[in-house]
Amino acid sequence: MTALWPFIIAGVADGAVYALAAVGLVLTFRISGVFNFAHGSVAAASAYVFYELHVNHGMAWGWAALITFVAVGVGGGLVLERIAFWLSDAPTMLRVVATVGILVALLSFLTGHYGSQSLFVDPYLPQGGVDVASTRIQYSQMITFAIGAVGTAALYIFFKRAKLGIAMQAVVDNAPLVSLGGTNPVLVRRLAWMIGSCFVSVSGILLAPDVGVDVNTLTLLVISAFGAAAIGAFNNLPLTFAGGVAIGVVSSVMAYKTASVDSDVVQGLYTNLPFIVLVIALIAYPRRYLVERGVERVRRLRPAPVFPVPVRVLTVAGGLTLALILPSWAGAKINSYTVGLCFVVIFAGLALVLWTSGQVPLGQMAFAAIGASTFAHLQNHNTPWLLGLLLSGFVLVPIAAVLAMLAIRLSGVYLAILTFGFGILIERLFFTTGLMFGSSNVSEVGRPELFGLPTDSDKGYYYATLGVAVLCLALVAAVRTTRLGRLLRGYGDSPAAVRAHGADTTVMGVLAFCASAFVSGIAGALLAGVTGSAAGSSFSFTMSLTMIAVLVACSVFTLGAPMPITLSILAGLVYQVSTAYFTNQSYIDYQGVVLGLVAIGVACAPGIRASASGLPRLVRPERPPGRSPARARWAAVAPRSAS
Amino acid sequence: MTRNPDLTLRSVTVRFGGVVAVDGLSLHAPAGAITGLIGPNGAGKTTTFNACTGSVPTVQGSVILGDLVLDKHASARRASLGLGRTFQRMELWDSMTVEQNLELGIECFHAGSRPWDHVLGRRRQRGSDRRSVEEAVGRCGIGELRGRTVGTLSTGQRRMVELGRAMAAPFSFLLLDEPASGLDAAESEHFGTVLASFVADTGLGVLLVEHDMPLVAAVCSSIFVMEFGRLIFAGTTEETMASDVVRAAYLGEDKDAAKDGAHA
Repeated sequence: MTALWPFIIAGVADGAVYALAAVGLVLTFRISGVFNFAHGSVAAASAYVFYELHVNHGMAWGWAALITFVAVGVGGGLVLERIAFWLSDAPTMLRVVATVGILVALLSFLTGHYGSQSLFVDPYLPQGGVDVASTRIQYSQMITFAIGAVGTAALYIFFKRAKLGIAMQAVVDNAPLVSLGGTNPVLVRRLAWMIGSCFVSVSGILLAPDVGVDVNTLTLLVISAFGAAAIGAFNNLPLTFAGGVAIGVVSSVMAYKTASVDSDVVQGLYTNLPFIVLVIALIAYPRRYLVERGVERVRRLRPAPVFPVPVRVLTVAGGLTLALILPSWAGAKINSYTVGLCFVVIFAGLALVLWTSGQVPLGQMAFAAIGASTFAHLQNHNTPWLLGLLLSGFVLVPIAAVLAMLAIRLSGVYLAILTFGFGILIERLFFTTGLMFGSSNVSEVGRPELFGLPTDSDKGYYYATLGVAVLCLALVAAVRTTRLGRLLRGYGDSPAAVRAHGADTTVMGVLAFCASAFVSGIAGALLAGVTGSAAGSSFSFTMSLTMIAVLVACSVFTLGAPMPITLSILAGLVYQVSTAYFTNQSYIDYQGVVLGLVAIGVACAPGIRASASGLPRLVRPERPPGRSPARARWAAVAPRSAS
Repeated sequence: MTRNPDLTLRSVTVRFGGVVAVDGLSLHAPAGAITGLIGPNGAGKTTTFNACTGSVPTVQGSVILGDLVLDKHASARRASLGLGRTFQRMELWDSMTVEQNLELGIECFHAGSRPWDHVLGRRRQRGSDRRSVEEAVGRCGIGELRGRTVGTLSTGQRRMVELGRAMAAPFSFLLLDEPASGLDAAESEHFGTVLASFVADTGLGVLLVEHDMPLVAAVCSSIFVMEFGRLIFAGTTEETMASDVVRAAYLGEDKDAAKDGAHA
């Protein structure tokens, strides 16, 4: 037992940092109903600003930390509050998209500006420590834990005792009702976002010397916060803090205990503990604990335009002709188009879930990776190409069904959280195992020879991919024309009305999600065939996030109208094919910044509602009234008298 | 005809954070009659509806349809057990036509929670569904609009479509949330006639939240009045209209000043 103490103490200190981040996350989620997927990016941004000031400009660490705290914590909080306000009447899908957009933009900017290498900050907290019962406790560990515990305790007391704290809890459910009580909901929101982003900013600064200033690590550290938040049911602050510390301790002890086990999966288990905790919490907590607030009064998305049959037939025919003659002028860039086609299929799967059932899967590349690695294994066992392709899709259906059933039983945001965690788990824990790409992270994949045609050449493989892609797009289109399609379309227009008429939106969500995973698996297998090898690095988790931003950003071309197939083709061109033509390094580096910002813009854009005249009308969320006497408000809206 | 169920609420309480939006509300709305639920804005009427349909969680109390206790069921299940509703902020499928809205309402009901029925169901299932759509279109007088996209209709027309959709689906009790708001006096009177004849013909129970007092007075047989989430009065329409408690709740202490506000 005594051998464990140093690990427990280190775990408590680490845990307190994650807990602090988690408390900030839960606070803002509670107040605004917006789950901030970019929470980790705020920590990353803080670490970089701190690095810039402290290391690059030689500022004393105290001043550097203070400036970072004010600039990123307070300033960032105000910016986030503004975005959250614009999202206050947005459906869950757009709320998730907006914060993912922030994540993608920050990630892309920081990677572009500072590179993807870890930067180092020397430990700045006082060195040394005290010995307690033969175990050394570092001062830095004590300070870290104290900051976390004091911050959370202060917030808890504020919530329980202060009038403003109590009012804060009611704001997201019914802002007008709160203002009737004399509290200004705008003030409450601002305060909450400032506290939330200050907390995570502090954890970014505290983590910088330990984990290095590394944008990917810091951004994804938020998953530890997810685990802690899940223990607190995304609602309870003290429990969240306790959860964070518990995760810190258990993973620290696990790292020590499993280090000698001869298995990568077991050894990697401790870093994925937060995700495992998250899954258990989502299964174990009764539904009523995991409610998503503030989604009762949402604006509508712009309805999809319905074009006459001849227009549709002509468009499809024209598109197909273009695709068929493309190899004759694409020249050496043909493989880029083949990759583009694979991505179009993945985008189509995403778009199906995004616009028809209003859910946001954030780990789609993990599905594609599973498809690709399954395909590689099947090829090793001499499975025919087409059968292998089909099986690579089908293998994902049960996985997707389980994920969707876990999350969709709750509300939309939980599927996003779960797939986010799932994507990271698959990438970190399974990519390099024999189940997927093996220790080299690459498996060989051959191209087919179909029906005696030269489909193993670049041009031939393009046509083979085109054939499969068309079938996958047809499947997506077919899902939209069956009853499921009508129900999903209804769901897109008004989920409340679908439920109010008895259809179980969970069932449709699961079905659509399975269909989307199926086509992603096939696309993953096709993608592997382009380079002749399935490599884990072509299915990185951050691509899943960027793709969501790309797809939504592309909807500016259709003026916000949800047209899944068109948008997935556009997204494939923008995301993959464009990089074959714009080879400028800064285009590749900063593409994500632009796409992320456009995605935020699309998500925050005013709702568009058809008005009586038939022309669309822009609708902004109503600003909650300030301190207005209750009776005056009632008098203004009182009914006509009975006389 | 099998007897349609009554709707009973037993001390239903809904809280938003520290604010009690509905506080121990009990009421009974019988089949074959229109029951009014009125009160000033913010009194908790829509929240009561949301609690009935399961879209907000109740902290205590029961919602009972006929002899079925609905508390443990999710929204969709409550609807497929027969509890239909319309929304104060209309929830229509804006990208579809009027006819498609009515048909999809019935399709949702048939799809329920069975995956198979989600994938394989056909648009027009049975003759009886066709008849339901025709009947509802006829009742609501929206025959001329049936091919129009719902998003392009006026508020009054949209209200009728939402009502028609609720009438076409095989519900056994309807919750109507301010169905006449946004209608002018003539439209609202027409609306009252449609609703009254629907209830008389089908024997369905209706719980009506409405601010249009002439409409409430004309169609309701009994009225429940809420203020600050509590029930402050219950009685027949005549008793309610004559009640000082109700008048005070609606118009405040200074009746004349408030009346001016109301007419503005």
